[in-house]
Amino acid sequence: MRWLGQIDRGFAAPLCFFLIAVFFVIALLFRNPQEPHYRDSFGSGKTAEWHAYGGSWDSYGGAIRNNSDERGAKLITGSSQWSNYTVEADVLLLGQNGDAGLIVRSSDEEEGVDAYSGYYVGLRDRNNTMVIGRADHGWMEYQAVPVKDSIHPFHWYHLKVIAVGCEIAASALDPESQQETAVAMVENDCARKGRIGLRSYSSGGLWKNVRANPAVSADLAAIVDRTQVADSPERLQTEQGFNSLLPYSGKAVGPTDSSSNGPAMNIHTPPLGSLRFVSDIQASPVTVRGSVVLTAPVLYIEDSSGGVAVELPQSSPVKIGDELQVTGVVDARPGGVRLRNTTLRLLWSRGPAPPLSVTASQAATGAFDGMLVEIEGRLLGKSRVQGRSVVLDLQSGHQAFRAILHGARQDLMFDRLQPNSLLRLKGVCVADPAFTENLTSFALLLRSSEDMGIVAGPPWWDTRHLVEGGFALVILLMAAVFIYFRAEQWRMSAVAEERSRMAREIHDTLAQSFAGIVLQLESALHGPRSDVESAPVAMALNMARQSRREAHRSIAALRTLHTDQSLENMLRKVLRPLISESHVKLSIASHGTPQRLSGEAEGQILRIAQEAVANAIQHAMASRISVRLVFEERKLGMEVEDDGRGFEVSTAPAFEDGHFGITGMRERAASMNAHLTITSADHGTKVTLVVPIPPRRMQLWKLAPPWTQRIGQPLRSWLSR
Amino acid sequence: MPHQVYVSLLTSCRKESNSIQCGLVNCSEGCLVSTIYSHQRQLFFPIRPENIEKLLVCEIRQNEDKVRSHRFHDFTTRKTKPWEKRWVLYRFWARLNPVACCLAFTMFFCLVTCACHPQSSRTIAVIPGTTATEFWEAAHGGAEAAGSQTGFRIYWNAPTREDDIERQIALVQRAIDAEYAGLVVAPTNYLALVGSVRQALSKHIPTVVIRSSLPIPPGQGLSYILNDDQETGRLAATRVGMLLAGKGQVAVLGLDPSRPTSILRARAIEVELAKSFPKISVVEKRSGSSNTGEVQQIAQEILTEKPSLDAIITLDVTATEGTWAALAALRISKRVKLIGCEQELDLMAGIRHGDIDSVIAENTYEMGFRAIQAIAAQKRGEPVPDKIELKPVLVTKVNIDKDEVQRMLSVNWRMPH
Repeated sequence: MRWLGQIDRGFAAPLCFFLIAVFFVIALLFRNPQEPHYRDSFGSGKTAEWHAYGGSWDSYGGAIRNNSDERGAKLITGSSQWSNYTVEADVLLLGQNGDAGLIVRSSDEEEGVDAYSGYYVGLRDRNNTMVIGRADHGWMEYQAVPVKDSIHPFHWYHLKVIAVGCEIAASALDPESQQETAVAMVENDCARKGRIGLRSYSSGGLWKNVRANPAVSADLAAIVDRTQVADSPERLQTEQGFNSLLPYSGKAVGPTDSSSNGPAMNIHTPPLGSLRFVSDIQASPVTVRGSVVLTAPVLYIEDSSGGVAVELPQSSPVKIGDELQVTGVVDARPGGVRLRNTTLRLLWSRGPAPPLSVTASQAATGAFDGMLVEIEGRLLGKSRVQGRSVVLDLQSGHQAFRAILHGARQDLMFDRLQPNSLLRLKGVCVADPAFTENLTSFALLLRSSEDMGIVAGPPWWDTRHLVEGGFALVILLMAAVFIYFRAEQWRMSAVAEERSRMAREIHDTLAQSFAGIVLQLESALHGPRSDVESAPVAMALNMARQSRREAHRSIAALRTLHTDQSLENMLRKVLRPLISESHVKLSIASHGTPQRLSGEAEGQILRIAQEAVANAIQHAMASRISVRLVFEERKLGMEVEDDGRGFEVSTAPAFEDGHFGITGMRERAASMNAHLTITSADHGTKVTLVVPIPPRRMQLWKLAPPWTQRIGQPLRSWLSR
Repeated sequence: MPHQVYVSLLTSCRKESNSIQCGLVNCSEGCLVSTIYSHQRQLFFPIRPENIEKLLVCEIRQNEDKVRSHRFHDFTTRKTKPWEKRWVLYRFWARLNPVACCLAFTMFFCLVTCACHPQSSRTIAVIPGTTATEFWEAAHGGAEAAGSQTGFRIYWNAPTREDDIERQIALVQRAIDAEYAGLVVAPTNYLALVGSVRQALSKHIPTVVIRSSLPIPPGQGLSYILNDDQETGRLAATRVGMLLAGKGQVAVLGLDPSRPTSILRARAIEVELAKSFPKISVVEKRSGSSNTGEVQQIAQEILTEKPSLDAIITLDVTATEGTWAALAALRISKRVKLIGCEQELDLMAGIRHGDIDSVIAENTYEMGFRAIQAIAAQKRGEPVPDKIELKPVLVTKVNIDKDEVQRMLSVNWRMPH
């Protein structure tokens, strides 16, 4: 059945889509693990492949630094399909009472102390141990092995972690003393694949020479042979196990540098906000306390009342979140308060303070100068300054401001930002003209690229997207038109082919049979036998000849219908053979914009014209026949006019008399809802056919503007070719 | 020259008096339709007259332009190849179109969506004040134990700092947006989480608030599993009274106005001391900090200002650690008794070595365990108590190795008790 074939064709596209989708899902699920090969480019400041989860990360002297005491800050890279590999790096702790190390086989990461699934190996200076364990949104410590000669902050260690199968082993080498410590663990239901990462806990850290390479069991054995392999975390997860395994050192926490040469700890210090009211004339130093909210390009400290900039006497290893006691001379300017000639005392380390959420208008009042704030704004522009800083121009309401990121993973941020994006920025609010350049009322100094979040991308209806969308629409329309005409062409070809086949069949069967009948009848009529009654045989002979001519006309009509020919041309092709053996002058003309009708309708028109012309030649003895096509908006008119002898239309021979012509013409006209009129007089006959053109075909092109119609016709011709 | 036409579909067969007439859809030549006739009653392949859409694969051997040779005896049947069998299946399936297609696609996308979407319907979010502390990891253990019993997965995460209220709100909001099966939250602020918890309740997410309360009445999906802070204060006061033999000076450190827990404890201490040990006076009450170093400084200041102080009661872990460090720095751990609230494994080492007298431990394991059980019960439609107050335990050198205490201190969240 025909509908089944249509369903099949309609089904092919969704089937293909389905198969492709299944293929991609299977490919996603069973894709081959990639080989782990990685070497950092921290020396050239490229860190875009790393993704941060907490902390304040930046490139620092060929290494990457987490300049924050946040617990469990992570930086992750690599493929989730990496399986057996070695990761090694040089690691340095930036503070006390914390740890820093490497993560292997990490997945499912998010912000949070142990918010990832994987294995961590770290150097912990709180109890001078090297630890290894399993993290799965919780921490299970498998082993904590004391490190000989202790673990010292600001000292490089070379850490190497190997993960093969369900065994994880690691070693830490002190390059100076050449002391090496090893840990190892095995887990039954282990994580077999995952990314690599850097992590610190309560103390910032520095990592450099980070490398990852495939590993095999032999690599693992080199470490496992030197240590015990922990197969259970149970002992360290109970109070008895924890306190019996780890050495007791009492409680010794900050102030962290109580033995330093800094000023004595001063408990009663003025709030930082009050420094704005210190007179410039007063040159005596003041002592204040605050936590570090920014270290570069200027050190800023804040407390609950305000913040100040601090001029460092020399390079000091302070981190964001450190609590400082600062003694210095106040330099109160309209652009903010600055402490000069300072001496520092690091009181203790702590995690970075959360920012205050304020509006741009509130920040512009100066009330939050030197404090860590969070502001939303729409990005107007971005630029690099001397390759070291990124400057963002932003707008929030009626307030314009700038955000400046100094030297911290700019490449990652700069490429990601698009104008008109809505950003949420965390940074230190400053009114210092050195940063605002007096162009805006304040500027935000960002600590790292993680201080910038994209709340919403730019609206999609910008000029570029509209232009692109317009082009895409035009291309789609052209494709649709192309497909439409191709489909129409295929359909017409199929019809033409079928008609050719039918013509062939008629030629080989019907026409041949008539020829045979005519031959037999002629031989019977003119043959030697005299018992043949001549009148009925002559009648049969005439009818057979008539039928043969009809058959040939049908064949001619069927073979003439081709999609690449206009109706006028097809008329010429069909009608010319009819006058080939006579002296009749035939003229064919077309008026109006030619339009294509359905193949069936065109076939009927041809047959009517054929019949009319044949009648004019055979019965009217015409010397001149004119065929005129008139294309109008909703109809097609065809006039076949001859100058022969007319006839009485009302008394024209009917079907019963063995004549098919006029009846056949009327039936053909009726089959396509056309109106056929025959008028005849002494000086000639006129056959008028008015065929309605379906409005659907007209509207397709009428809907389009005039210029498209001008180019449409050549386009259709081209497509038809 | 013989012309081969592959007829892929035979349709509309009907039996007439002396012939069988069939329609052919010839897909090898542009899907044309033709009609063939047979004057033979026996065919070389089975045709059931009532089967109007039977699929067959056969060959028509015909001479070019000889339509009359379209007779069934010219047909030769051949064995169906394997790919054609599959094609038959495809044809069969295609006939179910379009309903089958829509169903197939719906099922496919449902499968993909289910595979990609987190199983939030069987996940309970537990958001404590912070993570990676022994105090809260015990609650993690309790939650995981109850989760494995009741068939719920536990999502466990919290801010890296206990005073990071914004992050805790964000995590609660995430759990609400993901429409988890339940929410367990230990609010770090008395007021800040009210909106988020109310939003969870409005979305019919069963919610259990643990450890410290919120100003929302229980019921309608909300229940509380709290520490008995009155009992904590009473235990601390009784321990001090016993240590000081009913006479002496005490300081209370770690008050936090934003946490009713600390206010309740401080008040209970004072009430119990006044009632049972009237000769013991609270000479100093100071707020604490989330930073141990800062608390140490405050404690050193108190100890310097009040040299005759006999004991210090600290109301949270940070205050205990800071005060312990101050006592160690001043080398007066043996003289000034330290009684702390809330447990950490480090503090237990201090108890074992005599630097800390005692710690009043909260049963956070049980909080986590019961919270998950309460949500599971709500899911089953069973009633749950509006409020449960868990009794704390005074941990001293004497009872630290008891099973009951060790169980409370365990942080083995992957191996439930």
